[in-house]
Formats: sequence, structure tokens, C-alpha cells
Amino acid sequence: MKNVVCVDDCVIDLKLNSKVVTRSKKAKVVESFMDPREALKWFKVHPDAKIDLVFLDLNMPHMGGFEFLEAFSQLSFSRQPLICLLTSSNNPSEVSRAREFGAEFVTKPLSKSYLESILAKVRD
Amino acid sequence: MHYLEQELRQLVKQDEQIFRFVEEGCLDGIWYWDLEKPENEWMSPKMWETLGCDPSTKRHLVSEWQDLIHPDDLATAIENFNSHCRDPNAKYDQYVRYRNGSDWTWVRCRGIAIRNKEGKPIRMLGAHVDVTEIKTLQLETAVQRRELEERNQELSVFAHAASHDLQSPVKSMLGIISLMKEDASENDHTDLEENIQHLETLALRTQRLTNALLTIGRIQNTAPMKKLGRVGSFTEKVWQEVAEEYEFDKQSLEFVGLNQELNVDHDMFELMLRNILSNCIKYRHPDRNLKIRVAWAEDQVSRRLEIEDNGCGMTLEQCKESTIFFKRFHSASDIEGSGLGLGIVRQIAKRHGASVRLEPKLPFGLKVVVCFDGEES
Repeated sequence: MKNVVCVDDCVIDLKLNSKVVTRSKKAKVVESFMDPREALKWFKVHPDAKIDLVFLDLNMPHMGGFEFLEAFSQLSFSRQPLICLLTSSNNPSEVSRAREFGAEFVTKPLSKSYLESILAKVRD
Repeated sequence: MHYLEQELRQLVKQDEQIFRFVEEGCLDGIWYWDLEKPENEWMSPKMWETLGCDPSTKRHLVSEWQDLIHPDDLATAIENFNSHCRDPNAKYDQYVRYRNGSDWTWVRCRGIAIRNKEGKPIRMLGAHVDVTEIKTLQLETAVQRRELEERNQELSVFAHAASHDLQSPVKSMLGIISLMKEDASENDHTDLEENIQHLETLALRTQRLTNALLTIGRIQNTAPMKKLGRVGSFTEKVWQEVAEEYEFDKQSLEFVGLNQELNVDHDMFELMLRNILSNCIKYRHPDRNLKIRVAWAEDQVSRRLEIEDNGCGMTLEQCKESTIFFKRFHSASDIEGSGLGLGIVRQIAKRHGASVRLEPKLPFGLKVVVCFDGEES
């Protein structure tokens, strides 16, 4: 069972992602955050949480997805989570910027098939 | 050589009137410079008239035109003159500005050095053509082009943001529908009510956004129907509506000096106030009783409508970023809104030659200032 953290300012999207993850029966949502700053604080305090995957929204009011990635890349973990940026638009410049951070990029909504393909990329 | 050209050249040599006609008809001034006694330069009367001067007051001295030419252009002219003297193939040809009263006259100034047998320049013959009209048009066109480029850039950013924000709730709806289909196939109705509620929320968000986009389009494409109206009457009417809509205490609002009359489009002005006042309610602080103060202020610098509250407020950085369309400072789930409210306020102000600025208010709250004298926001 893989451990997932979801960060999205939209409560409906958080619930939606959580349901898709739970229904896959291959992963579970450990934590959900509506405020990326809170998520960052949590990761700082839990470097040994063994998170496999982070679903991160790109457009958020207090801290954008890329701003989050900048700060996140400074942290060190016992297990480095794979970041997957979830966004409503498929902007090529944002896709290539995500790649620079070694992050995956996918347009919303999160689907069962995409979740399965991304979970396959996460090492055991 | 064509016989007519030959005949004309002969005529110019013989008949003074022909030279005068060419000078008057084709040129806006002629000058002839003695490079051996460089303080001496003959300048035609028409040259001075073109520059708005009385020729009888002007002496045939280089200093006369050098006093009038724009310093930057004098530097260019001297550089070109030196190059032309060194090399006849280097053209003496430039656009220069001469002071003409309080304005500038643009002149295309061309010249040719007359050289002695050794090739040393001893005289310089030059011609002026007044190009002020063309230059003015060129400058105006350049300004308009820059403005258009800026507007295009703004539109491009706006279109991208609008597309993203419109797609966002639609994509969430598709995700929910996908889960609902899965539930239906398994005859599982556990989440049905919650999913319908989510769909309704997302549909309403889409509706709010499309309405706001339509409003912006209408403001941009409709000329304001300006009529005189009292600021206090607008504020009172809009506050009644907003307070009722949000079921809010009407006493929260304080009016100061709102007897001022303004020549504005009443519908647009009321929409502007509605956006500002409803923001005061939406962004109120949970631990403080909301107080809103609407005041008219004027001094020698500007005339301003100031709306301040004791709500959540904004940082200076957020105030600066508030000019960006769709910029949200709160989660869509926390506070409803399209992210276009302030954009609508700014568009309406712009249509009235006014501007809007936001200021953090100490110790807490926000002040929205609508300046009616084109003061920069």
C-alpha cells in the first residue's frame, strides 16, 4: 500500500482525489492539505513519514505549486516522494518547468487509470 | 540628357525666378555655410519662417540656428557633418528638432560639402524639409502600437487565466461524474447526495465566473451613460441590497461627507460599489464586528472615494498583485468569488477616467481608494 499526500485549495478536488486513491486499494491518503504552507510545515516535521506520492495543485492562493516545489526541494526525506502536479490546463511551459523539478504533470481530474500508471512508477 | 531637363537646367542658371520657385515650392529652407569662416552661414527667409521666426530678426550666423536646435540633435548633426567632410560618401542627412515657440519643429536636414581642388570642404549647401506632421503621426502611431501590444499581452494573460478558471470546475465535475458512474454500476448510492451537492457547488462557481466574464465584456464594450448622481444615494442603495443579500447588519456602514455629486454611469457605478462592499463582507474578520467607512475626500491633488473596513485586509504585496485578473488571495472553497471582482471595479473606474488603488489599513483592514482625477493606481 502506497502512502499519498494531497495538496489542493479546493475541498471538492481534495475529496475527489482522496476517493480515487482509496478506491484503487493500492494506496491510501495519509494527509490532505488545503493550504500548501501547512503541507510544507507537515513535511518538515515528518521527514520519516515514508510518503510515496504527493498530488499537488498548481494554482493555489497562498503559495503556487512551483513555489511549493522550490521549498520542497530543499527538504530531505528518508524516502523521497514523487510529486505529481495536478492542473486544469495543459500549459507546455508549466509542463517543462515541472520536469525540471523531476515532477510528473497531469491535467485534472485524477483518473483511476492515471493513478495506476503513476503508482507503477513509484518504487517499492 | 532629355532636352527638357537640359532646358530646365539652363533656365535655373539664367532666371532668378525659377530658383525662387524651386526653393519655395519644394523646400522649407536653404542654408549655405562658409566653412573657411565657419561663423558665417546664409539662411533663407523661409527657413526662419518654418521655424516660427521673423527672418528680419535673424543674423546670418551659425549661432542663430545652433541656439534653436535640440541639443541631442545638434550632437548628431555635428557627427554627421564631420563624417561627411572626411568622406563624401557619408551622407549628411538627419531628422532634427528646432524649438518653435513652446513646440518643436521636426526638420529633415540634408547637405552637401562643396570642396576645393584639393578636396577640402570650403562651403556647405543644405536644404530643410518640414516633416513635423509626419513625425508627429509616427510618434502617435508608435504610442498607439505600444498600447495595442500591451493590451494584446493583457488579453493573452486574461484569456489563459479565464480558460484555466473556467476549466477548473468543469474538470472537477467530470471527475465526480466518473465516480458516480462507477458507483451506479455497483449500485452504490452512499455518496450520491454529497456528489450532487458538489456538482451544484461547481456549477454555481462556473456560472459566477461566466457572469463576471460577461460583465467585464459589457463594461469594456459599452460607453458609460453618464448622469449626475449623489455618491451618498448610490452607496445607501447598494449597501441596502448587499446587506440584505448577505443577511448582514446594515448598521455596519458609516457614511462621511457623501453629498458629492458625480457624473457617472449609474449602473456601472453601483456595480463597482456592489463589488467593493460585498468584498468587505466576504473578507470580514471572524473575530471582529465588521465596520465599513465610506468617505468622500478631496484636496489639491485628487478627489477620492475611500472605502475602508476592519476585515482580513491584505499585505502591501497582495495589494500590488490585486491588479492581476483572477488573482485569488483565498481558497475558492473558503470564500466564494470569481477572482474578477476587483478587475470589474478597475474596469469601471477606467471607463470613467478614474483609477483604483488598495492600501493595507493599520492596525487591520483594507482601504479601497477610487481616484477621480486619473491618479495612477
